[in-house]
Amino acid sequence: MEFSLGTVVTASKEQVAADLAEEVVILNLKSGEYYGLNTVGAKIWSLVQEPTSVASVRDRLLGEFPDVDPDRCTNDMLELLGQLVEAELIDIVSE
Amino acid sequence: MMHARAAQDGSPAERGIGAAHPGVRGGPAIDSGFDPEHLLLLHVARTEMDVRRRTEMRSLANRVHWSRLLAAAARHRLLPFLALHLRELEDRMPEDVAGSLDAYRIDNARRVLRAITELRGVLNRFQDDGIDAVPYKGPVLGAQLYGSAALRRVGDLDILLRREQVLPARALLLGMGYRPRHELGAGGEAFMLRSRYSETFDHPTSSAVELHWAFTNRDIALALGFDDLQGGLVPVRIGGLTFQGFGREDLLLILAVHGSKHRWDRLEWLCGLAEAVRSVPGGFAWDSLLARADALGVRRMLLLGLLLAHDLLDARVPPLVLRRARADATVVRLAAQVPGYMVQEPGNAEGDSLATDIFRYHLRERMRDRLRFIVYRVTTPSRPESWSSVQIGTHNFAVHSLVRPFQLIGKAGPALRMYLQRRGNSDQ
Repeated sequence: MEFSLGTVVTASKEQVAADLAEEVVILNLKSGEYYGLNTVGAKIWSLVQEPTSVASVRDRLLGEFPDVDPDRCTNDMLELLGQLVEAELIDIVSE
Repeated sequence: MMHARAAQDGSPAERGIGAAHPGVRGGPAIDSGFDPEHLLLLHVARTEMDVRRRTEMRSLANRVHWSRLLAAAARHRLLPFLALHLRELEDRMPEDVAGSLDAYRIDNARRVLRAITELRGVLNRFQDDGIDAVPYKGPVLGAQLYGSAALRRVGDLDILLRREQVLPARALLLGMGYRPRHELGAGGEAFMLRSRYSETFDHPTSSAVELHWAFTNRDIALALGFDDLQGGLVPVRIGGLTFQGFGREDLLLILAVHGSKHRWDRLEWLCGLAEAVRSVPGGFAWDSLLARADALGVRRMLLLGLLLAHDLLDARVPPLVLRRARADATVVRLAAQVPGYMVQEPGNAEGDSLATDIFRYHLRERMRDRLRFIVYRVTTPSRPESWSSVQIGTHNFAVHSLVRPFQLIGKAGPALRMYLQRRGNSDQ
């Protein structure tokens, strides 16, 4: 899945999620499959609850985790967003 | 960052209550206390943790008996909070306890999410058939009060609806494969709708559903029904789904009555009340809320809950309300009994039932409510198998109303002995 920094994404309506302190468990309502997100994943998940650009997610992450290398942060974030789209847990609002 | 998990249920951390006994903790009105396990639970029963409390938890962690702590947390439905806050104390707890809590946390989240989807399914079916319904308690309350549905343990799915829509809702549930937990005899349905407040339905593969058309039986009647609450309903979002929840003031009254009815013997109820107080940063319009509680005849229950929430959980209850609570000698006396109920082992049902009846009687502040309580308790059986009637000529006679007083006389002797024996033991 290819994203540009201008791509706008948001959490799918077909999921329910439960916060567990710094983690999140998500249930895909269509497939019935559960997913777990770690601390950083949970942060990204919280940022995409409303329509948000990928650039905005990246900037918020870098603000939250200033010690992380920006390129590494961007790559990991894009990888997770790709997985979330593939799992139908987030939707692409606009390219 | 992301991993799919297998959908398995069951957790090693859910067990029965462990041994516990009153210890020492002093609030201004409550001069009873708790053992280290229950003290630790008082610390974890909240969504926000401060530095002082964290320090006290670390100190208590050196004194607790871990299996007793897990058992007490299970009984008080506080395992999700324990798992949430004890993560910071992992260096102080045995490895198997940490593992057990971690497994519970994930397992409970799965159950909660599953329950939410089941709840949505039932509510959608009701809506399609024109039945207005709103979830009561359960994961929606968890999301509303705690900000996370996963901080409540899932039990039955409770749904409030209008009394006149119970029968169609019942028929829908039967069509969906649910079965009433208690098969009712002739006249049982009518009796139940008239005298009780809910009915539970089981399903072979889904959570049980409990339909409520009132919040209590008529002995503790809270004169609030679906139509009184509908105007104040608020949206509660869980993931991509939006449910309806009760308005904050309504919720506070409902939680206070529910907890009081059960003698506040489960800490999670008190935690919910304390969080409901905390969730309104500007505070409630306390004067009008107390006036409303007065009009409903539930002021004493509200004051009792608020006093306990303040004294045991440091809820931010304003001094004006605390003064009113402490001015009612019955509230203070009932509050002093609650810690004992919180640590009490489940025991003899009849002795406990009498103590509960006495407690509930004193919750009523109006003479007419006290009389109603006595009449209800004397004439109305609690067991569903007694909810039948007989046909004599063209008239239906409720068998239970005739038989119940004699049943009570038969039970009174042993129950009274058990109650007095317990009082004697607790006074020593």
